Amino acid sequence: MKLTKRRELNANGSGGGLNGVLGQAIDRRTFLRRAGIAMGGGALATALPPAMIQRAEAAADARTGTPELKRSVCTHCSVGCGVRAEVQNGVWTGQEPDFDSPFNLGGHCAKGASVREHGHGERRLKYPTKLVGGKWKKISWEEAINEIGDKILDIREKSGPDSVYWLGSAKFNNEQAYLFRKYAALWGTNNVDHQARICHSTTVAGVANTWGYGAMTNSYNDMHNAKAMFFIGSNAAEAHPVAMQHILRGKENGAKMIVVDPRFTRTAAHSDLFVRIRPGTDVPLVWGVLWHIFENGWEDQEYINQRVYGMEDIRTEVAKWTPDVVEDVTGAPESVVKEAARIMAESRPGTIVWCMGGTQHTIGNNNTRSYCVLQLALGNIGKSGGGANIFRGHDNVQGATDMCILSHSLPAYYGLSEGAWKHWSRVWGLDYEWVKGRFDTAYVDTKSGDAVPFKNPMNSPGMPVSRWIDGVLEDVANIDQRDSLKAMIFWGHAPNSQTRGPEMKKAMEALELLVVIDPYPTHTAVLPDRQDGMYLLPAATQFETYGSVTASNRSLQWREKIIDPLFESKPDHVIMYHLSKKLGFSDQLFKNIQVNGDEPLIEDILREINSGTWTIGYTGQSPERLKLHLENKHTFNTTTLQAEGGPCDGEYYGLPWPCWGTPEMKHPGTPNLYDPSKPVAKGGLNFRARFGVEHEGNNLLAEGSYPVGNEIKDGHPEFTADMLKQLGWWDDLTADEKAAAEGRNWKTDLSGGIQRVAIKHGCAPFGNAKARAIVWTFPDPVPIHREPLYAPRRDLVEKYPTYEDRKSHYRLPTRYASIQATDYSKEFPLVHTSGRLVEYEGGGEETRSNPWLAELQQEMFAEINPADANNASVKDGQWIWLEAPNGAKIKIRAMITPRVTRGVVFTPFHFGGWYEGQDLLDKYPEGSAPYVRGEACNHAFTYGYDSVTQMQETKASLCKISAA
Amino acid sequence: MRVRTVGLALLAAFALTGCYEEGTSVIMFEPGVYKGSPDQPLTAEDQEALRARMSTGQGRQ
Amino acid sequence: MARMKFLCDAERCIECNGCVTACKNENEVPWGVNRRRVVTLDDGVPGEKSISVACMHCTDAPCAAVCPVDCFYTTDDGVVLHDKDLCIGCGYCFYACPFGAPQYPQKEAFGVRGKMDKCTFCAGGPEEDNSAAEFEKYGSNRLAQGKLPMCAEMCATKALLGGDGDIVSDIYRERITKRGGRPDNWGWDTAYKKA
Repeated sequence: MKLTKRRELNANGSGGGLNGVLGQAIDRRTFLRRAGIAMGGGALATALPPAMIQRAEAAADARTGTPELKRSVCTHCSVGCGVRAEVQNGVWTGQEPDFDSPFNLGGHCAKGASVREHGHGERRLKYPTKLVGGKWKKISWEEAINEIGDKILDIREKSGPDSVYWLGSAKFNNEQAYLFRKYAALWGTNNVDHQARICHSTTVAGVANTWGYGAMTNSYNDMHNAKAMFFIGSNAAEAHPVAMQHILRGKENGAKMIVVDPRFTRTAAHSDLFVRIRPGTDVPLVWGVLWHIFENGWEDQEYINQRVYGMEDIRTEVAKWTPDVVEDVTGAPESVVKEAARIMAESRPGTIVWCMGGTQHTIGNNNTRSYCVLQLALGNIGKSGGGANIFRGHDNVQGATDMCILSHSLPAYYGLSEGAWKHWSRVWGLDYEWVKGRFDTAYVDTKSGDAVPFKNPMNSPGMPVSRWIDGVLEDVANIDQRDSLKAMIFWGHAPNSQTRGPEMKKAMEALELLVVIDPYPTHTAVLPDRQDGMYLLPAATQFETYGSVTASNRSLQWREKIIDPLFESKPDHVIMYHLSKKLGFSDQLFKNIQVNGDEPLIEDILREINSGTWTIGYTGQSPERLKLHLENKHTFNTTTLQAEGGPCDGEYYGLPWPCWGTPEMKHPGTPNLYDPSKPVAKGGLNFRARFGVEHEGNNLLAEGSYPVGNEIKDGHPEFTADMLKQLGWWDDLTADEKAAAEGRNWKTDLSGGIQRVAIKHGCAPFGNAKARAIVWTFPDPVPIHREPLYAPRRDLVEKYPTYEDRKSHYRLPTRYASIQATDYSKEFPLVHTSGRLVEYEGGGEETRSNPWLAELQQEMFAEINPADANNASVKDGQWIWLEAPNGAKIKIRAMITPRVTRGVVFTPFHFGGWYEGQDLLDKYPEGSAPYVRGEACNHAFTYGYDSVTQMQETKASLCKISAA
Repeated sequence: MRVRTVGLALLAAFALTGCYEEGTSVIMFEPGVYKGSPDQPLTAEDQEALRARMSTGQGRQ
Repeated sequence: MARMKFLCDAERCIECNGCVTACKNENEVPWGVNRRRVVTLDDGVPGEKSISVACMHCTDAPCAAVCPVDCFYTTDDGVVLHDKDLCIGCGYCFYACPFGAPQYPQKEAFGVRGKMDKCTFCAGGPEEDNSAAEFEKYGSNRLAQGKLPMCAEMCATKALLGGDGDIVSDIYRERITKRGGRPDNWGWDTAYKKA
């Protein structure tokens, strides 16, 4: 009897199914299946190492007894789909739909539906590994920590703490993320960052500087209430598939869907109106839409008068973007742009959604601000069904951003000023002077022998992840710290999400120490040609630990541990304990956090977060409240996210921040930001007074707009102890609160009393001001258009040039005009843009190591328009070289499709494990190579960084293609 | 001579009978009749449970 | 008592392949065998539609009709299953099926197919319910546990519905009504198309 063994993975597909029957339907999956079947079979022919066989057998025998139920949250994107796991004998044997979760109601995309593979996946890092003589050698954890620690301390001695780069992760849970930022602070550097830098950093900067907080204002569920939806640079069908459940429900409730994108994406396939633009022309398009709105008087003037500052300056700029100019620059004709404007004007409230298509540009902060201004003009912010619905990326990038694993801020966006450090030193129970002493001060110039004071590394932003390679390769004289980077710790972060591949390889080879701490080896393990100085430490996945995670809509969810860490992996916070102990600051790091054996107590870390994050209201979400929400998920309404009855009655699911005050105050969370239709105590809000009370003699506070129940009945500044006294509310504080609040404000009062009393009187603690349409502290106060550095249209470069080169930004010289000055468009005539695939996520190592996903996308490819293919004599399915102006080239398959227009080439970014045509399979440690490997598209992406946040320009570069 | 040949042939034939397998489990094919293992049907309670699950699961809004 | 049916609402399907991997997760079929696949028509151009297809559990199943060893049977609930012990791997059912549901775990080079494998509506097969043998041969038996097919229960957008045909129809009918004729009614453009 010929049976198929369950766990055998060396079977090739029969080719049965539909690809033979439907010969005409050359869709992406058919194309790739045909291309990849032989390859897939070969990739799977590796033998299982002995330890693995044992585990697989154990799994087979494990299905006995009643399954234990564990509840977690998917680890892949910020929608935060609930995951229900069945565990038998410690083995994850089943996965069930989480119908009770108001976020996904049981649904999953391909990634979420396959997370059970994490419980038996074989292609992981299994034990600490060291590179010796070019070969991978197994070592013990003790050896690894000791050797790495010794080397790091040595570098600290010789070059200073800033020469070690701690690159953290958007996949840490909140507690690990907070701990990591504290860890880097106590190490004594601001050279700490994570994926948000290269994802939504321009969003956070642009949006926070417009109206106060840089996060998604409403929620995925709230989109049921929208009458119009404007997607620009967002491919939700592939990047946030379960969000489409809510989007399509909104559409079925009557909402009109507009999609603006260079490609006809799978999201555009569901749209009512598709607007195709040239990559990098977001501002012209949005100003083009606003032109029609102003032209026809469709703006909400009353809203602008009450709640917006600076719209006049915007009008002046928008007047330049007449329909013909818009069409010339973007490629979108007048009729389509006008239709988009009309839909947004007639169907309110409308929401705007954007993702990487808008953020990843040298003018990313201009793009994000233009989206905000559009919504302000329409009066759509602060309304259910409206808002700026920013879809974040990784499962906990929101949480990691809020905990500020960022080189320019301490947790909760306090910044890096002396006041910020003093606040956090107080929260940490540490002496401020001791913390200060951990940082480098002045250094001795080797040439002159003088002591040169340079920018105080404690109060100046560190280098961003997008530029770490320059931190290694740039001339030390041009860097604003003592020495260049000598050690790089990739902790839960892939390298193939950053650009300039050839230089990255050089940088990795130049480092004295390169460490990867990840469940998977990542592209880092195989990219550089090194002989030694490299370590791979196995971290556990989020299913092997527990803690809280923040979804894009600011809700916190509690994850239970599903299984124990596999192989010899350890959870990230345990590794932080070991390293901090070796490096000598674990006592300070865990002063108020209990450590059981070597595991810091997650609940204690969350309590510490609660005690210090007053700026954004992570103070009310105690472990107890979050666990109660976990137990009662089913009681929450799936549109309003409010519990109707049950133990959480009245609260919003996940207590979306700001959840003001102490947990005892029981604030219900804020479902939609800036919504004055509810009292602040019930989740209402207004725009934040963050930019002062006046600008150039003009009033910045709100006029006549305030949340229901606000006793001041007008705009007001942020709350301080003095202000409470002036208002006569000081005596509402208890004696303890008065003691803590004296001389402090709503951000630094550790008792939470100021916040409590302000809210008691109906006021938002952070003030009530107007949103500002112009940001006078940014390089472009009014958002304007500038062509990408690698620009296809030289005539437009003259009209809309980029910035001047900057000598120092985030410690590094940053080039703009000197790059744009060269005309690459003749030799590289195609615009190169990138994006996502639904089957994979991020750098891709985790998902390409899951056979259920890997089978669906087996080869790296580029989408090319038939006309461009014919011009380059390239046929469908053929191997091609895609070359970039920086000398990089990648060998990939050609996929000929009209999805992209003439002149635009698209590549997906999740592949790694190849280098310029060479499969790096042999360079992986034994048994840990992902099933599918391919070229990293970012190898061929070029220099270009946002003028405010150093976000990289991965949506608009140039390339050429040729048959391989 | 002849006796020996016939005798050898009979011996060979006899020996070959040992090659038959235990043929007691042969399934005789009858057109249109399922001869595979039986399957347990769902009870009425099972079906009711499935209907309820449909409404609270996939049908949940 | 209605028959078990699948319905994929093409207006909601986003080609996310959640159904495909949910099935692989639950039934642990090997690389290359996909009981469920998503088909996309007009890929990359306006009018693009995707639909998830697996065995349709036909009332008058062509696979059963052509099988030379009659290894198929239909349960009272309308689920079409087969006995792998009887299956001879001839491939005739694949030839007959309009949806390409039968799959063969091909292992050798010269056309040896192996036993036919297909979507079972997560109802297992003719072995004892929820036994190890049933899981090994046919995958999960969710119906016997009071659960519905994993693909439908895990669909990201609730495009794919699977269960009692009456209830599937109810859900779909409500959606159609709510959509009020969206996508725009046939002929709408003729009457109302703007110049």
